[in-house]
Amino acid sequence: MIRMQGVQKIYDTGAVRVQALRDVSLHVRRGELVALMGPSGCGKSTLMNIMGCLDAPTAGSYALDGAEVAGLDDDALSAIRNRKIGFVFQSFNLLPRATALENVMLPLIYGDWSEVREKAERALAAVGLADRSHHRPTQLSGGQQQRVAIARALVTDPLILMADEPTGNLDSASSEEIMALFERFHGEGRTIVLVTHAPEIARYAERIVRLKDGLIVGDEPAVATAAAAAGAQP
Amino acid sequence: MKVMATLRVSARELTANRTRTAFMMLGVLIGIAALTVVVSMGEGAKAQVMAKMERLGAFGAVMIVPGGGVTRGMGSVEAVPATLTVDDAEAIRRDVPRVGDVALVQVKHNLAVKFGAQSTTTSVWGVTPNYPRLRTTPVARGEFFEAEEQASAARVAVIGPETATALFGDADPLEATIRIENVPFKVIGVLRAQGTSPGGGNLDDRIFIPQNTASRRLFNVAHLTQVLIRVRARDQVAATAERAAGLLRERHQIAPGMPDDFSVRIAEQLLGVLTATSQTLTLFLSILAGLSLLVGGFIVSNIMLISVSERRQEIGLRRAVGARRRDIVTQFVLEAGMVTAAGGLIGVLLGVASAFLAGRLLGWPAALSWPAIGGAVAFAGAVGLVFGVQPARRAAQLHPVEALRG
Repeated sequence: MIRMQGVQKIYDTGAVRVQALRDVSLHVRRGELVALMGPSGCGKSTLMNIMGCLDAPTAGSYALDGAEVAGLDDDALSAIRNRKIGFVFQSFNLLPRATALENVMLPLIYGDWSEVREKAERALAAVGLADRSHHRPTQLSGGQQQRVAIARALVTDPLILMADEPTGNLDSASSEEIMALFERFHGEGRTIVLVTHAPEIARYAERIVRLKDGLIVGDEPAVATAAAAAGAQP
Repeated sequence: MKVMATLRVSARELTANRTRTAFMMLGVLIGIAALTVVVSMGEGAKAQVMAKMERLGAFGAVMIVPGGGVTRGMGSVEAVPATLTVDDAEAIRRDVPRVGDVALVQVKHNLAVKFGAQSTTTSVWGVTPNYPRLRTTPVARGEFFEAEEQASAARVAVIGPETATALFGDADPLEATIRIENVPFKVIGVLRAQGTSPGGGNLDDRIFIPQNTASRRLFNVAHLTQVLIRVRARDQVAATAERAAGLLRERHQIAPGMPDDFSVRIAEQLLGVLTATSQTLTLFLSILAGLSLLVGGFIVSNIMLISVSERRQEIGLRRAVGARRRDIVTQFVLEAGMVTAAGGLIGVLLGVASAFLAGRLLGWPAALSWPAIGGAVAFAGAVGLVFGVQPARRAAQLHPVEALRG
């Protein structure tokens, strides 16, 4: 599904030259739930942005669903984001003036989609918010807002769901609710990439990829790490 | 991109940001309102002149005056060339098709008129009795003279209401004898007040006498200052005027290429001149309004830039879910166009309201011009579209990752 080989990302602002990713090679298979972990500044967000085609690598190759992505133009990347990727952000990023349903419909506005309303209603129902479709984000709790965002990410039936600290702004009860949703979608066979620094979130993953200073420093099944994390906690 | 779905959300965003949207509207509103006032007033003035000319019976008639080139006002009999004769008028009536009444006019200005100790100075119009059929000349009291008085060159006069007041005060002028340049005339009628002519002449201070009387007993000249021709078919006025002119050139033996020694005027043409004048004025004021719209455009542009920087997260999100750069450009440009078109609409309403209010207060008529109103709104929208492009492109050039960070 995702095959990265020697991916580098260098931010060069003229004065400062930051090597966010040094040499990353990673393979994510269909149906995996992978957690990207590491301290802040380790490059995990950069890696996710490149995986999500929001940003292009400076060097290296990236094949998504068997097709090379590096070197595609902006319109082509937009189309890939639209059809193959669903994003969930830490701060939900809902349009404040739009209803839940309109927020979920947003990806379907771009590109050649049909049955826009029906698809959005089904996606909202899938996250359990069918009865909130005409509410504005301000009328919803944080957990509900994130569920709307998840519905928006899934409304296009994407190949990969990318979630960047999806529970970062939520209390623990809502966090568990959201993670239960991810588990369910994972169980239904979706490929999910989760960026987090929280071990209790990462334990939902079946595989944990650790980054440090722009390099992958660990890539192991989650069971072992979860145990290690549990053991490390007093 | 599904434009309607996008704009529905945009519209809510715009109405929620009241101050910003109001300032964007204000940018075009003032220019459009000013433009609307100008156009409404111009239309009103045109309609007023039309109505006045219609009331005076000016349409469907041809006026011929002696002397070539452009002359203004009503020439006095001693000041005009002696080229237009009664025989000319008779020839036109006889030989030009579709000609109805032909009225002969001899005017002399600044004649001394006396009644007892009272005296005044006014214009004396020697006209044939059919004159009221060509130029509305309502008689308030008494009557206009008829063919009999014209034939006998009777010394009878119909006087304007202001002339009557000057000579008689509140007394009754009918049957009184006035002296025009010391020649006695019996007053047989007093005109009703009409105000001013479309050209600005006073219609209420003058004296009508039979044309024969004027020619033989007062002015002692045979030539005319004006011939008025009624054309039987309204759509044939210009053609008839041309044939009359051709006949006159023939009668006056004017060689081809030489200028006319007379001028032919039709009201439709005069209206054209008036329209052209008001068009020049309208054009000038439109340029001013256009300049104010240009300034408004820059305001729109700057507020849009603020809006773009405040909506970075939204832009980032839209890009993340698949909006292409051109989708972002389209959205922001259409938003700007929507706001300025709405501003234009409000401006038009405001302009129309002030034009009618000013009209009411200043006695100046205002009239609606739907094409102008539609044009103003479309133009305001276009200002938004044009001046929205640069901020919209700025929005589209934002890097999705940077934009999402807010």
